[in-house]
Amino acid sequence: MSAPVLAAELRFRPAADAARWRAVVAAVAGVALGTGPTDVTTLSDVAEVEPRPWTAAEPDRIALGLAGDPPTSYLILTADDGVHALLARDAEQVKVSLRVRAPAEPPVGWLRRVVEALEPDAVPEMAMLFDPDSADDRLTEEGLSGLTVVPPVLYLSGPALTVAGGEARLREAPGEAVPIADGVALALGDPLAPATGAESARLDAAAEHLGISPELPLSTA
Amino acid sequence: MLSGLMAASTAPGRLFESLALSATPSRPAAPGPADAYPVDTSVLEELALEEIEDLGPVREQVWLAEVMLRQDLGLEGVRRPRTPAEEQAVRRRAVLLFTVLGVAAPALKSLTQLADPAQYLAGTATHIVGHVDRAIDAYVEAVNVAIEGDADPALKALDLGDQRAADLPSVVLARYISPGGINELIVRLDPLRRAVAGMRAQSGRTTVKRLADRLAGFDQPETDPYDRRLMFRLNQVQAAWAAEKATKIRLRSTSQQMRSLLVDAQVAVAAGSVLAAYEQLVLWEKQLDEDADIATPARERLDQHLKEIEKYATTTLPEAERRKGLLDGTAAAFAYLASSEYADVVDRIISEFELEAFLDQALTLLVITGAAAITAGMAASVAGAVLAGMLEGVAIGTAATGFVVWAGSLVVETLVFGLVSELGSEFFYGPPAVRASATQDFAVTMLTFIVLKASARGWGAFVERFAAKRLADSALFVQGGRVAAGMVTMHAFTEAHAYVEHGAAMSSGKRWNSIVQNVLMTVGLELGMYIGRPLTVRLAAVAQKLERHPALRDPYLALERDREALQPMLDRMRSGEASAQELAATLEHLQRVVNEELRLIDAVIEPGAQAELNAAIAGHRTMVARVQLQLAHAGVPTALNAEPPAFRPLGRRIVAYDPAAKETLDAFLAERDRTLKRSKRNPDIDYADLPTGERYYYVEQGAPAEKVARAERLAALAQEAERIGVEEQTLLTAREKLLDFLQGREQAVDELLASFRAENLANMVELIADPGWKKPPKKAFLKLLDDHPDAVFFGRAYGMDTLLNVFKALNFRNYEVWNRPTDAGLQRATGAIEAAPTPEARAAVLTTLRTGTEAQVKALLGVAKKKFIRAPQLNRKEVGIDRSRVDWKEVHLKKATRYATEHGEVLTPEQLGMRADILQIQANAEYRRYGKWSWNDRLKVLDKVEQLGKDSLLDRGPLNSRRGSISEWLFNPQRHLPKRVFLDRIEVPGRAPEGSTIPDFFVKHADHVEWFNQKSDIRVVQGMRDAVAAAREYLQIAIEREARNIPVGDTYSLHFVRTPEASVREAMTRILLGPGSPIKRVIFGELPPSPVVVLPDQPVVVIPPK
Repeated sequence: MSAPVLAAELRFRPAADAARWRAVVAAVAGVALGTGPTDVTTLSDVAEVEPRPWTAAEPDRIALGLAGDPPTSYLILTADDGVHALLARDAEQVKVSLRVRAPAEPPVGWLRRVVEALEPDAVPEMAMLFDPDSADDRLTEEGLSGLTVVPPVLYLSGPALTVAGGEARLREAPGEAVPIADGVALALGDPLAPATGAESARLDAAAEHLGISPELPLSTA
Repeated sequence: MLSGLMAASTAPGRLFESLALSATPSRPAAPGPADAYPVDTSVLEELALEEIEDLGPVREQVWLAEVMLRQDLGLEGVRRPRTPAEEQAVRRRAVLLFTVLGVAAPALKSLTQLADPAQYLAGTATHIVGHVDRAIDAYVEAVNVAIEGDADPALKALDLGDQRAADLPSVVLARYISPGGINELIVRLDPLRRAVAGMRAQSGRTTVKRLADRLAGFDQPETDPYDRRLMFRLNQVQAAWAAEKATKIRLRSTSQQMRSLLVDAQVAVAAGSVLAAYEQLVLWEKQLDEDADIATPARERLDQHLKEIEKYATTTLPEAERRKGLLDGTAAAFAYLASSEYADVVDRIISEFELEAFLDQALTLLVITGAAAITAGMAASVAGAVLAGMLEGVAIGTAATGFVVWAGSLVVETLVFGLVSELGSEFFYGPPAVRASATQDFAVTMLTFIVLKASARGWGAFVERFAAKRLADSALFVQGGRVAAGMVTMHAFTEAHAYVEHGAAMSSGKRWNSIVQNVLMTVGLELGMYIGRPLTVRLAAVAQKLERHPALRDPYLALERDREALQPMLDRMRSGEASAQELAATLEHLQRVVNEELRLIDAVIEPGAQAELNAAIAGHRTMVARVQLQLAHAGVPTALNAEPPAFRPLGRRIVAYDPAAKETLDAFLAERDRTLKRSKRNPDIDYADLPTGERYYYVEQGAPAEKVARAERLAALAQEAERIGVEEQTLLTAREKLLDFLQGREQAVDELLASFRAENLANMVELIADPGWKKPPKKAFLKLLDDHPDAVFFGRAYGMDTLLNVFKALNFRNYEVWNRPTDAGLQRATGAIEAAPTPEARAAVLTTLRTGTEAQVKALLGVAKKKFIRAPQLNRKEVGIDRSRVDWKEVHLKKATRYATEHGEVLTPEQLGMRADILQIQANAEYRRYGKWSWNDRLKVLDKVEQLGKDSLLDRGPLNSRRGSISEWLFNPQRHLPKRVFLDRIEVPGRAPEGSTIPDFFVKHADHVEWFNQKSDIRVVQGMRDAVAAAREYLQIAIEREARNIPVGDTYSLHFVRTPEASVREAMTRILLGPGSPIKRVIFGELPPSPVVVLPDQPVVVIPPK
């Protein structure tokens, strides 16, 4: 039986700098996906019929797409159909959605490894880990412009961290605050399983502490 | 109607006095129900082989049928003796093949001609020819399967061919009479103009200008060419049309602009094409030098045609008349250009060039170009005729072709039909609310011709089942009189018509109505053509006598007034405007005039002047014979009067004729430019290919083919009866009954008898022959009986009427499912009868069982009155599957078993059970028994179907189809509404043509309609790769077909009933809504409750636009 799947979402501010996105693609392909990509498909290409094999040229190609005009999106596939990465350049953000097998290390440690694989000035503004089977739709459907619920693991940096009240505010929140690169990850529960009663209470308390609610979403856009 | 007849029969006069004296007049020897194929097997095979040999290029595709027929006939290989069973099998497939060829052969010949792409406008040819090819494929398939003796697939393939052929006009019209088609017309103008100028330059006639140049717009300066102006108008019309679609406001002016543009473009291209052909011939004359006379007659002929057209270039006639003149003129010119005469001239000229090594390819191309334009012109000229309101000419022309319409005249008739189909009508006349009623009537009338073609098999069956008997029964009023041969009764026709109109027996009322109406209309017109003319015109001497006769003068003048009153109705019938009721009234009127006229003739001619009388009624005799001939073509055996019919059907497409009526037959064919031809393979049979395309065979009554067949049939019957172990007469009776209810299909009778258990066969035959079984037995009921030998025994012992009455009381009047207590009930009934203490008591018990009410029978058998029981709640855990329910075992399991057997599958009992589970789920879904279940619970039902299908090894195709159907019942919020069909942005009525879009449901927004297709595809929840592949597939379908077909201004969306994981959802959405996608919205899972529930008579829920 294969290990459970961990969902991760990384959200970046758009930039026309292809080199920056090449590093992100490299981190996704080399670090996050574990077993490595086998093929890739450009979701936004209407003419594409089926995925093409992954080659060394793909990171550059994807990086150029992410640095270009929206909307552009790619799906990187692996030999494990449950493990893949979706990279999308939208109007307000660049979004990386990852599905990976549960890492041997603690999830926050895995997140640290992925974020620290990036250049210091290219870390995501927001990232989160959650259980894909029990995730609230709002987690996946709302971007940098409006986080309305708090995931089991939430990472903020840069403007997002500032809007949330800064590092100190995060440290005061329920759960464990873990510094990663220039930001802080707030671990509130196990992202590989449905939230327990205590975890749910903690998530609600953290949301209240950070002032995040459907009426007042966390927005950095 | 009958009262009229009775009044006539008591009127003074020798003929009717004799009738009035006869209390129970003996009936004339009327023919029985049409004896299906009393023609020898080898004769049928000979005729079939001949038809295949005449097929032309398609013949190669049905080589197997040809080889098998040759082998059967001993023309190839050695013909070995056959066992009776083999003989029967050969006969079955010979009958089937002959039936199939009756439809397929003429259709294939016509379609082969239509498959030539050179006939169509360049931009339309591929699509149209592709459609024609698919129709050809279906007909070829029908023939190839028929020779194997497989009735069902053969007839299905035939139906498919018919469907595709019937769709052809819509396909052609959609391509021609559309902005795209008009565009294709306009773009032809410039090359034509250049060609004309080039040829004039070559022939040294650069300064020549004709009025045709003006019609074609060739007189316009190159800086402002006519085609550009037409194109500008087209753009304007398209824009207006798009705006109409978007706003849903239909403007009559837009339709008028489109009509006007179409006619202008068509006239320009038509005039330009004829002009180009003319200039070509002028040039050829010059190039041919000494041999110029080869081209001269054709050039002069075209010159005449051009002059005819040019008359209308400067006319001050009203616009409608001007258009009519132009269209008629161009149509005549095209007819010449399409003639073999013109083709011969062109061939000769080109061959001259070849001889002199001077073949100018461009010239040949121009000829082809001209031919292509011709077809467009033909389609458009028919359109133009209707547009201008000139219905009469078209209607008369079409009505004159007769009522049995096969594919031979497909080109003209289907264009006419297509024109007046919903597509054409809506395009030109707007929605029905603003459409002229005359056009609708015209459409209905034309429709009957096509419907008849598609349903000829059904019509024959109808006649054999119902009409033949009624026709025979109704011919009782003209016994033995001097003028009986000319008398007619319309009673049978009108009764048949009323039966179809009001009865519930037919599954497709409209279709049958159309067919009957059509036959009646033809017969009425045939009679009307004769009897509608005054007696002074037809029989002047008799008319004079009547006028001078003191007692008969007044009735005669009344008759003429009555005849005059007939004319307006006959006119309405000719123009196709008569309603069904008017038709019936006209037929009655006709009958009255015919019979009153004969009564007066009978009265005015002296007794003993037989020669004079015969001469006077000769016309009436001929008229009756002609009517009989046309009805015989349709498979109707007529007894219109006291004499044996001059023509009667021997089988489908085979008519026996009285040698005395040969003249009538020859005249009938001569009027259609046809003569009898002798069959190459059977010298006893003649045939004629009618203008409608169908081939009819004519056998002289008493000819060997007919005699041989009877002997063969009787011998086979005796042999079969001996084999089964019943009396020959019993078998004959049983077969006739079965023939009656199986609509004359002898093959179906054979199959049914062969399907009974061997040990039951004798009893089943006896039971079917039982005189107590008066109503036609149902096939399903017979199969039920075969499964219940005790019931058969009961019926044999106590009479079929007793069995039926008991069964009716105990089995909820259900003749398809055997109710278990019925067995017990029959046992009790047997006990009650046998235990009766006295013969009187036994008789009383039998009487109750035979004729008692349900309550009386149940009381006698001690069966308690059944309480109404609500259907039990479905078991959620088992997703509604309940194998203990009677429907599971008696309906679904049997159906699953039958399906497996028919498809050659060998399944375990458990696998069959699973198939039955699926069928039970489907039945539950169709009865809305999952209606209150949650979305997820309903999805579980769908998953279960998927699982059951896989576990029971159901092929992916049938499984997808079954799952799709169940899914619709489970999830489609508008499953109760009729499906809408769109093609090329226009809604099309009726059957969906190939390439059309059929959305599952829609949402009405404030400014547009959002059309949804619903998907139950399991791939979307089977992982990322499958889901992405599915999304790509649906995107391509949306781009290539679905979104392209929906109306301008509306949007196209997808709804997936299953909800995949968020990342899969996102990937799919990014594909489906990506750049360049025509899809507006993608919804996963449960639908929002409000927007999609739009009931027909409820206010529409409006969603404000985003």
